[in-house]
Amino acid sequence: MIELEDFLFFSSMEKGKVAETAPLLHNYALAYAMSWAVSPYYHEHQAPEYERHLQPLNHEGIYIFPASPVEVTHRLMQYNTTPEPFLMTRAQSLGYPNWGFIKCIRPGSRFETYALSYNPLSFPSRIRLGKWMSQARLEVEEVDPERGKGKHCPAMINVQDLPKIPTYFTSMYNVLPTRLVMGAEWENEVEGYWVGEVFLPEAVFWWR
Amino acid sequence: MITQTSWKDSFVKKRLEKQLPNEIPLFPKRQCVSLVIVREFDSTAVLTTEGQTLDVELVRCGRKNKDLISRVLLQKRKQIAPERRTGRAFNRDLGWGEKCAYMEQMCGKCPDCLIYGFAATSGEGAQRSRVWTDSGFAIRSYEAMQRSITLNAISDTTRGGISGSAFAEREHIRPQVFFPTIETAVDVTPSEFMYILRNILATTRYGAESNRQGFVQNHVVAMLFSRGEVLSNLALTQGVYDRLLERKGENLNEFPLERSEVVEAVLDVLHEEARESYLPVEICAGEELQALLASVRDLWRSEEANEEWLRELENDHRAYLEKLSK
Repeated sequence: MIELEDFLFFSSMEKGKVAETAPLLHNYALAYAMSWAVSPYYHEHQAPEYERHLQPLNHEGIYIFPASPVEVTHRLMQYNTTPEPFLMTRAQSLGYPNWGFIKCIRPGSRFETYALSYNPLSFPSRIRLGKWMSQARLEVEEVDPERGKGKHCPAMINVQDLPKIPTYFTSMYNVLPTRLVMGAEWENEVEGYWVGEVFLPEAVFWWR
Repeated sequence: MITQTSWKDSFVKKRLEKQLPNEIPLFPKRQCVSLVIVREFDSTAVLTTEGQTLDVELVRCGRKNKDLISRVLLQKRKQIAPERRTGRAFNRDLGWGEKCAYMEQMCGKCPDCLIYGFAATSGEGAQRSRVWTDSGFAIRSYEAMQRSITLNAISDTTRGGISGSAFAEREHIRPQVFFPTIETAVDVTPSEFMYILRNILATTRYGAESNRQGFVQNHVVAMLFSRGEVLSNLALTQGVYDRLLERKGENLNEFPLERSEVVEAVLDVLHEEARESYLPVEICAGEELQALLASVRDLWRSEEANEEWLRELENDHRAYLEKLSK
C-alpha cells in the first residue's frame, strides 16, 4: 500500500496547456523509488537506460508490479514561472513551458501493488515519486504467493514485462515508458502466482 | 577578546563532517541531513496558484484526531524558488554563474545548478536535485487564518468610475501563521550544506506580490541526521495539531498560535518519530543546535572564514565536474 503525503505529478498526457497525471504508478518508477535500481545524479544524455538499470533485478529475482489506484482524487493547479531580471520583457518563447495547468493527484490518495522476490526484501518506509519528488508512505505486508495458472488478472500490469500478451483487457494506459493495462484476460491459462483471490501473471522487467 | 574563526575548525563543519560525504558522489548514497524549519509569516501573504483564492487542501486534522480540515498550503515550489533566487543573487555577487539564467539557459556549473538540479534547455545534460522538500501545511484550519482584502486602485483624476480603475478582492493569510516544514539535503558536502542553509536563513519573502508582503521568519528548530527521511511535512503538521489540541482544546482555532508552543510540539513529534524509526536518527536540537547556529553566524561574519568556505565550495564543485568529464 502506498499513500501519498503530498501532491504527485508526472506528465502522462498533455492536452494543450494541461499536463495530466494518470492514476497509476509505473513499476519502473517504483523500482527506482525503492532504490532497487539506481540512477546517477548527473545525466549526460537525456535518454533512459531502463534495460541496463533493471536487468540486475531480474538476476536477483526481484520484480514489482505497477501500482493500481485504490482511492485516487485529482486536483488542477496552475503554475507560472517568472524570469529573474528586474526588467521583465516578453522575449520569444523557447518552447519550454513557463505557464500552464497541472492535473495532479492529491495527498491522501492510495495505491496498491505487489512485489515478487525469492529472498526477503527490504522496503524503505517512505519513498519519493514523480516530477516533484513527492513523499509517500509505504505499508508492507508479507505474503506467501502460490505458483499456479490463471486467466484473469485484476491488477495493473506492464505489457512490456509479460511473456504472454493478454487477449483482452478492460483499460489501457498509454503512458511512457511502456503501456500498462488493467483487467487483463488471456485466452489460455498462463503461468503466474496466486495471492489469495488475486492472480498475477509471471513477469520480468523488460521482457520484450 | 579576539577569536580566530575559520571554516576548517568550525563547530558546524565538524558536526556536518560526521554525517556528510567529503566529495559529491556520482550515485546516490542517501546520506541525509534534514533541516526542520518553522516558517512564521509576519505579514499578510498570498499563497495561491489560481489568483483569487488561497491554495487549500482537505486533509485529516491529526493522526489521532481524524476529522477533516481544510488547510492552507505552501506549495513546495513556492518554498524552493525564492530560496534558489536568494542563492543565485549571492552567486552573481561573487561572479559565479553569470551566464546562468532561468527559462533561458542554465549553466550547469554554478552551485545553484549543481545542488538544486537543472534540466538542459538547450543541448544535453541534466542534474537531479539533492534538496528534497514537501508542500507545507498550515496547522490550523483555513477559516481561522483567511481574510479577504479588497484592492482598490483609484485613478488620479477627478473623474471617478471610469475604466482603468481597478477593484478586486483577494484572499490573504493573516500574519502569525506557521508552516512546519522539512528540507532534506542528500549527499551534499558540508560546504554545499552551508550554501543551502544560507539560502534558507537569508530568504525573507514568500508567495505572490512578495515585494510588498509575505514576510517570513525561518526558524531552524532541529536538524536530523539519518540515512533516509524520517517524516513528511503533512505528518509533522498533523502531529503538531494533535499535541496543540490536547493542550489547548477547542481554543486552538480562536487566537494566533505562540511560536514557542509550536516549536515545542514540533520537537515532541520529532522525538516520537525518531523513537519509532527503524533506522537510527540523530536529532540535533536545543543547546547543541544553538551552538551550531552560533558558529554559523561567526563564520559568515568573518571575511576570512567566509572566503575559506566559498573556496571549499568551489573546489567541491570543480572536483565533481572533473569526475563527470572522465
